[in-house]
Amino acid sequence: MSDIIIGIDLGTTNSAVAVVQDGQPRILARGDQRITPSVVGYTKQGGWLVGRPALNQYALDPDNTVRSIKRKMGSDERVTLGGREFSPPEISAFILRELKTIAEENLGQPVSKAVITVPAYFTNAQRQATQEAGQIAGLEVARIINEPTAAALAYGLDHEEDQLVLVYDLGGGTFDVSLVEMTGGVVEVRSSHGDTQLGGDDFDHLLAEHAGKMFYKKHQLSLKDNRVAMARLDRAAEAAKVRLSDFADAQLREEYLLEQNNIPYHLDATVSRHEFEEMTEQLLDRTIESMEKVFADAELAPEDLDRMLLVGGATRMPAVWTLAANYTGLEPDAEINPDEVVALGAAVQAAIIAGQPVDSILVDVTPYSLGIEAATWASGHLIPDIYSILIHRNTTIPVTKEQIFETLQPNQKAVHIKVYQGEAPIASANTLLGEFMIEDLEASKPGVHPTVNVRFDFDVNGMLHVSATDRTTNQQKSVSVEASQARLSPREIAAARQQLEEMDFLVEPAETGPAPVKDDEMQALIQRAQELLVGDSLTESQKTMLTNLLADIDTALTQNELDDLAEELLDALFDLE
Amino acid sequence: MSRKSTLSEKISELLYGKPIPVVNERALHKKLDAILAGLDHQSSPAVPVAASNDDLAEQVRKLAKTQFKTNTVQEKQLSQQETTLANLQTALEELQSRQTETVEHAVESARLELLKSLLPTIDSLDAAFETGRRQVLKQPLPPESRRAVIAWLDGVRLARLRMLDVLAAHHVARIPTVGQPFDPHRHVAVATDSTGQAADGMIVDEDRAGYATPTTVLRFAEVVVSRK
Repeated sequence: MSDIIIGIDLGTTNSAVAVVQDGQPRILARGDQRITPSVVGYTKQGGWLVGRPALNQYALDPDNTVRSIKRKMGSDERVTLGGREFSPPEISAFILRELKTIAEENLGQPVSKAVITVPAYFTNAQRQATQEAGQIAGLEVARIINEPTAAALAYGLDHEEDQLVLVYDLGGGTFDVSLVEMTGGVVEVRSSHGDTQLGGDDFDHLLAEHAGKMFYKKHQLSLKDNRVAMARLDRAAEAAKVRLSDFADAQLREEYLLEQNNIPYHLDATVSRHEFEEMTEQLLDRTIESMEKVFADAELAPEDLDRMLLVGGATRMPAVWTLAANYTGLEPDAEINPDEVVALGAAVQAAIIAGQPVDSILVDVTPYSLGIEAATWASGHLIPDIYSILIHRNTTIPVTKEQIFETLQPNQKAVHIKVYQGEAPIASANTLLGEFMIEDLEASKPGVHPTVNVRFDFDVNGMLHVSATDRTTNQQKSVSVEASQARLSPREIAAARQQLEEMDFLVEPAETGPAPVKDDEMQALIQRAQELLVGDSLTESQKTMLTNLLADIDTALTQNELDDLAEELLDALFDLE
Repeated sequence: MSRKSTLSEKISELLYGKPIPVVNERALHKKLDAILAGLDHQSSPAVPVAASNDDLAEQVRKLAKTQFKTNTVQEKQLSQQETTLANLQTALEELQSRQTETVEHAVESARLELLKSLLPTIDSLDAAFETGRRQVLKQPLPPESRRAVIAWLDGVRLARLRMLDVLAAHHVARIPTVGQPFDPHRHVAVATDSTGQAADGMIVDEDRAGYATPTTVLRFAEVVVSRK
């Protein structure tokens, strides 16, 4: 335990630290804080601040607060803080020292070594600066590894198997996409492309802007000049974005948002996932451009890919999953917490260097996709028996997913909900888990199709709770069924995926003779001999004899040979005692 | 059975001075049977006279070797079992204490999460009360309406206090702001005030209330700080 090595994700906005314990990588937190803002500040009263407190004073003292120092790593730029000049590595060292302290608090022992991740596009100078930052913080940098490589390690991709992996990393403020190739034990980032001006925050802003417009439309009042109202709007938008990852719609409800001539005005709006995806489509399109560049640079095509990994909190948006799946033709991996996967991967690399055993990360997932039967009109023809998936297979559980369905006819009064488990595009080709009818449906307006909200709740006990709600009357019908669940490692998940996709022939391993087996008796005799050798009851010649015999036993090739040698050992030991 | 074990005990007494528990008894008994058969039928003409003294000594030696092997195996097994048991014991204790810790931690974070989710409702009650208070102060109202509005407002005030009591029962209190010095561990500065109405670094206004337990900040207070 003395030579423990920690893994650090030193991010532009946030950083995290992780370690492998009992074979499993885990994030080291302080209280409920699993990530630390990458911010350093100075106050006359409080001295040096790192993380959240430093971020808290940013608006008060921007001159004495440094954010996004990662963008300056490797440059000669100096930063003034508290009347002193610092180099970028010196500022980063503050953050690293904080992470080191968090690790030491958790582990109850000093930590002096770390693996630190950097973006794949970092130059040698930038990597050198990162290394320096570690040293200043009192950490021996065991290795600097690329962020996409760390993600691959967390997913259990090792160097033994030749694979081409696309890592799609959409964080809060930056987007990176990298092609990682593993061939013959060498991991190489073939190409990488970033968009430093694109992240999850941009999605929040668009949604906040939309909500502001809705408020204006209703009250003819602008929120733009009101600091408090704008802050509330931004927060409401972020919360709505998170909700829309799982639910079909989200409420933006802000009471007393504005007061004009003593009259209070409230925001009470609903945004559907569909609307949200339409307004943010242009942002996601930019990530496609980056992916195209990465493939062009490496002279490869999406068809060459073996895996695709989703990294960064913003990849929780279902639209990202769909885009990734459509672009690559693969089911992207997203089982491991996308905010933590890079730090966890750094910890895996650290454990490998320390010679510590590492197991695959285990996640509870749905081994099959879950959905309902749907039908649609296509150029005047009704296409029935379509499998509409609500929860994709290999989604981590517990999970809730909701989707809105429309009746086929405007005057339709009932809908038959049939719940399936499986992967076939034809609904009835899958396993039917349960079914029920929802009746007396009403349309919101005459001539409009009634709509039903279908909600899937998969709990930790493997129960799938399905409910359908008439969006006009709010009447609800539900059923609970037992569905399959599994605790798997990402590697097993990938293997299962591959099996289904390729249906390759299994190659039997070549026949070789069985290795000789030392039975209990033999092992006991060997142990006794070793004990005798350590003691001083034997003469030199006796020791030599025993040593030779043990060496022969170790190198015995067949069972017969081994059995004979064991008999010889027994004789020898018996005579000696 | 009794005759056989007596003999095996005798042989081991002969060899080791005391009877030794036997693990691989069946194999031993087989060999003993063979020897006994030899002894019993020594005079029988059907079986050739078994053994010279040398043969017998060889057989006893063989037997003793088996016994020796068995003992060695047994000793190793015993010490292995002891180690395994001790390891299991430690692992179990570690697991139990870690599990307790995990459960306690999960309960505590769930509790804080729930309390945190109540905060926006308190914000709304705060806003409702403040707006109403301004109405009563600013708007010219006939005495009857005024009394009614004040009483209604008082109801809002009580509802707000009821919520704060729930938080207080869980040791959650509002973070003091206006008139206090800015503390980055509890406050977030969202703007600065340069009118000089307060000393540098003092909080002059609160945009959003903050809440904390004695050990954890549930939500940072968002404040405006005087900056000269």
